[in-house]
Amino acid sequence: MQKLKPLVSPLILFALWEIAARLGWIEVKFFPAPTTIFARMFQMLGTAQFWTDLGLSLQRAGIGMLMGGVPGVLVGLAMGLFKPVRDFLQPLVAGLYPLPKIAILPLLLLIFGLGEMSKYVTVAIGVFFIMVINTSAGVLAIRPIYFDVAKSLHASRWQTYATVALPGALPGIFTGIRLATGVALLLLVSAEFVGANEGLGYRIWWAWTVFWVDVMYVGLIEIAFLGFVSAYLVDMLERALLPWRR
Amino acid sequence: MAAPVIEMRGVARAFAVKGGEYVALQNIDLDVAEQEFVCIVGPSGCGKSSLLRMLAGLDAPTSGRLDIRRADPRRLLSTVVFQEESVFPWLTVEANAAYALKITGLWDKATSPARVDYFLEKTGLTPYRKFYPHQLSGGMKQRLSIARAFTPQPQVLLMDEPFAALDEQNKLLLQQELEKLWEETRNAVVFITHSIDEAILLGDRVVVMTSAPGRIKADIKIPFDRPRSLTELKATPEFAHLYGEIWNLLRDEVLAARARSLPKAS
Repeated sequence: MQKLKPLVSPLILFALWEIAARLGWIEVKFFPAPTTIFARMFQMLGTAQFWTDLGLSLQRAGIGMLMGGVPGVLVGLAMGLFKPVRDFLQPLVAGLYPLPKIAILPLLLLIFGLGEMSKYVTVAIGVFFIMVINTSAGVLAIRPIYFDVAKSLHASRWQTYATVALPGALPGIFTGIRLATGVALLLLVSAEFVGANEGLGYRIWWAWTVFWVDVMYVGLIEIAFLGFVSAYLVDMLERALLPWRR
Repeated sequence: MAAPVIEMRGVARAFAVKGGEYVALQNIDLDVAEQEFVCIVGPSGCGKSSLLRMLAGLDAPTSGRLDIRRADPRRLLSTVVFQEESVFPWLTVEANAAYALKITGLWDKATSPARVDYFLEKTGLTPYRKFYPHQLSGGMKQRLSIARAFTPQPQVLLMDEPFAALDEQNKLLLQQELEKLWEETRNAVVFITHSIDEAILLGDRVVVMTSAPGRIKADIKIPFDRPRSLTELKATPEFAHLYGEIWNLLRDEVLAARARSLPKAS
């Protein structure tokens, strides 16, 4: 029973929506009834196009996150551990982070063309900054006493990084991953709106041009589902890697 | 007497501050022998913690000579029990207890696990060995910190007011447990404390320091036989006499430290 609780509010929303659509309270041209949307979705599930769109978007988001996330964590660790690195990079990060990454999409399209790389890079840039900021904040939040313990035992640099800095920064890194998955989806869909022939973002945009509103909604549901699943996976991973967190 | 384990000659420590330097410690001559438990008491800000950080190799003396003799090159020089909570939250109780041995490369598959078990048992943590620190009370965390320091059996154990953050009842229990544990291992110990009771219960010697800049004011032998019990000791006239002697030495320094801090407070 307890497990079904999170389903209550969405089900009520769908029920009200369905009733409103059937009674003509809302314009079904813009807000088709949930049953219409799900019927469309089940129909689409049988098409290759549906799976190609989903698979391509997943691949773009995944590769982009790795391309931005791994360097982001490394730069964040370096900034957290070494003051000169921090002093040097902080102004750049502070200046570039608030820049809407979408604003540089045209430039990226110019540089990388309409191929896959432009999508990877768009996602990677957004993810990179989030991981840098959260990882370095994670390192800086480690209490200095833990470094003193390692130093008093004459731990080497690498031992200190591996046994104090990295585990101590993991909570910050996970906060970063959580935020980055949302940003990655946002940037990916935006990039696919304008610069793709396949993928979830492209499909939603295309549905608009041909006024297939229920297809748009199917795309939205897919993206919401991806967000939900990735949050769940990050939670699982965090529980496995950070059993020491309450 | 055999050669001392710790030998300090004319050790001083100064910090650069705005408009000059602040001398925390001055002209410290101190020897600690093998198997000797030395307590250091002094007013707040007398440089006790600076002294301990130098012994731990965390800071270097500004001048003077500080030696810790290592009888066995395979043996770890020193471990520290800090006042602050210092057990790693990301390691289990047993991994924390094993940390010093692992990180120093002294881990020996044949003997080390038994050593960890022994000190976990001695500190009453065996039932909690798979727990993480957030599941432990403050007193248990400090016992774990003690287990971590004892496990490698270093030449010198350094303790910086390890019980200061605990409540009074836990403090009494832990002082007594530490006394018992130490009798089995007899490492040389330097123990910083504010508490005169604690210093007399634990120490073979009590070193009284002056207010800043910290110098050694007196070095008092504590003649009681071991094992010691604080409640029994406290009932003796010798305890009262020693307590009075140390307090008289300390009082002037505490008053001096207070007088100096007054203008700053206003």
